[in-house]
Amino acid sequence: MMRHVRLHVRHAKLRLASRMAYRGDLALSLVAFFLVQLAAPIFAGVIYFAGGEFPGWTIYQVLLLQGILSTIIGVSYMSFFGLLWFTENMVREGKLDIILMRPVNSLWLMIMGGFDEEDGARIVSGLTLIVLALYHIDISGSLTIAILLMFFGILFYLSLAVICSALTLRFIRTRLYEIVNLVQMYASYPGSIYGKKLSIVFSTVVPLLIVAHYPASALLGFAMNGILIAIVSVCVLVTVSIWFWYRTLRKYSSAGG
Amino acid sequence: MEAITVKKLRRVYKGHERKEGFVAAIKSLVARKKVISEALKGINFTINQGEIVGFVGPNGAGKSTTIKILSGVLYPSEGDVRVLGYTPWLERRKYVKHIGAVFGQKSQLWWDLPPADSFQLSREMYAIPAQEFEERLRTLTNLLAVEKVMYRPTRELSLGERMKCEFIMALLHNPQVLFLDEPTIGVDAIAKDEIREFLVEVNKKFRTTILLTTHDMDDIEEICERIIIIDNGTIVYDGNLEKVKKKYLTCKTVDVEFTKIKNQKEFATILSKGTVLEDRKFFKSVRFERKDVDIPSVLKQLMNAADVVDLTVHESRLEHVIKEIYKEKEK
Repeated sequence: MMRHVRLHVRHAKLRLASRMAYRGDLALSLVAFFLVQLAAPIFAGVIYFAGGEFPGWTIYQVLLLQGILSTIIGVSYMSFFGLLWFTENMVREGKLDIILMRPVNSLWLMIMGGFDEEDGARIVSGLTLIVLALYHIDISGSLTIAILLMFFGILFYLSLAVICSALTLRFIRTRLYEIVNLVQMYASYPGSIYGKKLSIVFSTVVPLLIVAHYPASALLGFAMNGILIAIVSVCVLVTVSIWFWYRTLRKYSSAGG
Repeated sequence: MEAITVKKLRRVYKGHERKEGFVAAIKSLVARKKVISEALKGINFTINQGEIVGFVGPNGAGKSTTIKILSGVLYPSEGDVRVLGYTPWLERRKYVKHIGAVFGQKSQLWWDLPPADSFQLSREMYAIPAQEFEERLRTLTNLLAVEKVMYRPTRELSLGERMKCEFIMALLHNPQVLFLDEPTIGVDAIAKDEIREFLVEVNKKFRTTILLTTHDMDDIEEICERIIIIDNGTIVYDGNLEKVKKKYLTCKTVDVEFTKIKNQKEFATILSKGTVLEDRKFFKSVRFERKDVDIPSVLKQLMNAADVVDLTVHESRLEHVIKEIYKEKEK
């Protein structure tokens, strides 16, 4: 496992070194990603100050939630989410063959290939929001539990990335990743705005509340109904997605030679 | 000792086809015509440790499919393959440590970084001990004379330089078997020669088994002693290169350049014994069947019949041999 982590770090360094060959583009991309990530909190502010409400949550608590979401998305997108586009490129160009000829876990290599340094800006904007929110609110919950739940949020994103990658292996092209944008949209607000039925769905079948709602609730000391089911659901999703990826790989037929 | 054993290897591809045009595209959304193609029809061969074998055939013959199965990338539909004692697709991660591959059209190097960085990543992937890595890198870069080149970004390298670095990348972990798929495609003549010499040297020095797929018959002629010819999923020839050339190279071509014909009748008689391929005022290119004429006496007669400036004899090329084999198989 340590070898895999070392490999990932070396790969990330190479990727950064490679990206630095185009400095201007890198700087512009970082600024753009930082600003784009602030769009949702600004929208939430507009709703709130126009008289809208987030039942049981103040605007700064919502900002905290969105800061956590941005951080999780930043970590996920930077570390592995590029797997989707990397898979498509590798399959189209027939370069997946080269990856399969390496003595390292193929999925890990693909995840490595999905590293995207530009998404680091999302982490910065997320942390900025968290600091800004915490300046206005008191923490009465547990930081450790919040961090642990954020880890499960990242795992949830990992399972989505792996499933989309597997479908790309199968169909070469898929726009299923648009669903991921939906996840981000729904995860941007407290679970309380969705009503009971939808909240159950979002903590079981599609446990997107684990991405931001539960970690923010843990930090604020709010009740976290259905948290255990959501954790189990994430674990099941990750296991199934990895199994599905390898299953699909068996049917890979490579590009014509 | 056998390095590669292939028995009754079959691979079937299932796909779809549709007619041209937009309407056909719409129809194909509802009902698609299934197409099953048999890329490999139960092929058998063995390759011994340290052999260099040319694997040739026309496009779509099954070469790449075979290489992909041998390298563990594809699952076969049927058959048994053992490479260095491994079943490639079942024990892929353990197995691939012992093989290397160079694909002429798929780079393994990072485009914006110097090859030296890619080599370091390879060291990490194959867990090559630092000292062993340094020694091997030195040996390979010396052999290919790329010591300076490997510190320049890959995108700035010529194709020849890049291909040399691809070879280093494939050989750093000292593989026992090397698969090469069109490794000299697009490379200039000088770099091609250097790569061929390098491969022969690597084979001698490390006893690396090499399976070479190429459309460049000069690669085969200069590197391989044995060829396997595949066509339409079946092996049509497997054996010694020289033997096959002797069997099928039944003619020679004579090019004669002259300033004056001294004996028109004799000159015409000589030409009539062969097939004139090129006919200019002071130049003729004629193909003679070896069974019909004695080439040295043809040359003498030509010298007598005309004021010859230049006289060249060509052996038919390997391409011709392969075409003959395909024709024979069709019959």
